[in-house]
Amino acid sequence: MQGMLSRRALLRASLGTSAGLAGILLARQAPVLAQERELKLLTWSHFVPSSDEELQRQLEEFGKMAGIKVRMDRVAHLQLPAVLASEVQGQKGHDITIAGGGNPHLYADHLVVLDDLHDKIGRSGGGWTNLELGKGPDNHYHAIPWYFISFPIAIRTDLVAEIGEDLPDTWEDVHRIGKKLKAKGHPVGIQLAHSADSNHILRGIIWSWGGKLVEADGKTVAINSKETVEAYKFIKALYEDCMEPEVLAWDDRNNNVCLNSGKCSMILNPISAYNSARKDNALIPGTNIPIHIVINHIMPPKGAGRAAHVGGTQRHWYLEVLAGAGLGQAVPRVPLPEGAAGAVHHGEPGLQPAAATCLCHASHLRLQSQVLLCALHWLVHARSGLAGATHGGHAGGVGSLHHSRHGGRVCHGQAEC
Amino acid sequence: MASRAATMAVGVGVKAKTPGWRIRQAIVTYTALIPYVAFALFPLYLMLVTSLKTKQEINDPFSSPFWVTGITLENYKYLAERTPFFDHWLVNTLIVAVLATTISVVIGILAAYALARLRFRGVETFGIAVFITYLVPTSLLFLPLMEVINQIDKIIPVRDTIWSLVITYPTFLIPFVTWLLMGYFRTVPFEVEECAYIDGCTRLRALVRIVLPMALPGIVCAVLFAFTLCWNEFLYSLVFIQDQLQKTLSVGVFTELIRGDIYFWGSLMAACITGTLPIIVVYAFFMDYYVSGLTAGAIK
Repeated sequence: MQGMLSRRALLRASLGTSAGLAGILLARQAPVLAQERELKLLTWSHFVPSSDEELQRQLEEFGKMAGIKVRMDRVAHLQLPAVLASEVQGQKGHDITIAGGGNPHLYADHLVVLDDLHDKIGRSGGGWTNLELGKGPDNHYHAIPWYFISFPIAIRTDLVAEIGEDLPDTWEDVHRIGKKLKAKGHPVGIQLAHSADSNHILRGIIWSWGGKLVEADGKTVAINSKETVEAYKFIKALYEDCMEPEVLAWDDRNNNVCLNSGKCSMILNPISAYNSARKDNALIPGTNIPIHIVINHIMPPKGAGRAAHVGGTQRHWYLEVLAGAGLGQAVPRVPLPEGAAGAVHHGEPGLQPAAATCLCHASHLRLQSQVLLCALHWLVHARSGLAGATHGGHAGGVGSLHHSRHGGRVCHGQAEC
Repeated sequence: MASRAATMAVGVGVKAKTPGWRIRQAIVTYTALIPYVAFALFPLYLMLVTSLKTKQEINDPFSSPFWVTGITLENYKYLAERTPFFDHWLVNTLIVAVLATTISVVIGILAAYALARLRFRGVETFGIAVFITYLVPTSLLFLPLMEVINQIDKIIPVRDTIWSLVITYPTFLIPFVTWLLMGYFRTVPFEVEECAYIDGCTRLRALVRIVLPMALPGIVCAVLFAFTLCWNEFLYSLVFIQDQLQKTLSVGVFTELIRGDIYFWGSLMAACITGTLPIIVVYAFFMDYYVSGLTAGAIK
């Protein structure tokens, strides 16, 4: 009988357990000991995997520095809208999330105002080149511009040299060179389909011809213009003379495949094509020469007036800080059409955020890192209680702990950020 | 006449068993069958071939997409070493599929039996309601279900764990299983069940001892379908779980091997092939039951 549970002991244990469970159920909250505080960041699966590894490293470094648990989650970029929608609906999710495009407009009510953080980063980084990016409809910052992915032309320099041409400066050059290269079996590969990149590219070309989607007020539709028509005439000529019908059915990946397989002579894309060609050691067909060594990137050419960056505002990524009850704050509220029309003209100052430009440049990577660390710091220190609220609403959450330790001040200077 | 007919019948039978006849029959049968089999297996074949190619060969426009010249296991190695495919995603998917299927089939059997056998007011309406429930798309349900998960999460931490899927998958599996088994239970003769009652069985005992063994093909069919639905499910898994190590196969592969506009084709195909194997094994074991379950009631 020794070691067996007596009926009395069993009753006592059952009562105790039931009371404990009832308490938890009534409180609708897990016991304090079971609540693990952590800072969660949601981002996309970057097309350069080492970028995610570096981001993870930075986050962990911050976690050690701040003495908190951190976690970085990734989803494929096409699935971000579903995840953000569910977190907004549930009012629970990540503390900081990445976002782009029109998300700030959609989720403005769920984003925390980031004016102080925007100001701090701007001052420590030498000022912002565009003060509109990240603002919401209430004229407050709801997102922090993080980085900008360029949309240059990736072009086969060896093929251009073979026909005795120089790299194109204008879209007319692209048309002339593309026509010659198509005749040699190397068409231009610009997707004219329903993909995201397709829209970025076409918008850039329209801007290059002086067209715009809306007027400066951000509301009046202005796409129906002579400039837009001229731009589309050029696109039609480019398609007929330099491209093949397959571009009408492409998605975002096909141009990469076309360039790296040796078929296409040029595409408009971020550096993902080049990077994957280098990583996969793709060869020029019929040779042992790696194709990435003959791929060069040039900035978007000029149209009938100016050069427009095809990436545009849509390609800015923002850091969002999730509101206390849920998802985040970080999505910027850039007036999409007008912001795009104005913000992306390559070469025009003040249109790209100072701390967030091309991913592939080392100095920009440093800036990116500073923005992230500053945002994390701000979240934990200045927005004390936020993390705790997000993860169970406990007053003694991560934020509060650090609030007491640091007096709730915002980070000062680059070193601290 | 009768004698002549018998002779002809014997003659035909003898002729039919000759080796030449067998060969001709085989040629006709397989000639008709091969195109269908090739059509059905082509995606699997292409996945297998691509998963065994090097990255260079995949990128080479002059190499045949239908054949592999230099077999490599680098894509499988990438899955094993650079992703939590085998040690987490596969295991998570298996646990979720087994648990959700078990829960759904048990509840579905009880519900289907009640709707098929019991007579009460509104039974037909209940049956239709179950079916309509199944028709509601997951793309509409995931938002309210997120709210449900969050409420449960306040009491028991299920968010970002596979348990959120074990809880939510039955919401679409139970209606499906119930509807499938309702039809099957109706094909089981009630007289047999009555005999059990006469012999002293309770309704539950009759269900377990009499009805379920007779409905086994239908139940296996329901299990297979439910398991497959769990295995392939994407949206709930995507929105309820973001923790890399808690993800299921479908979402994990999507997250890790599709990066922006870069697709890791070799590893993607390797993941697809590997992820398909458990389903193939399950179907292979239960194929006979599956076929008889599907054709129940087709002939009387």
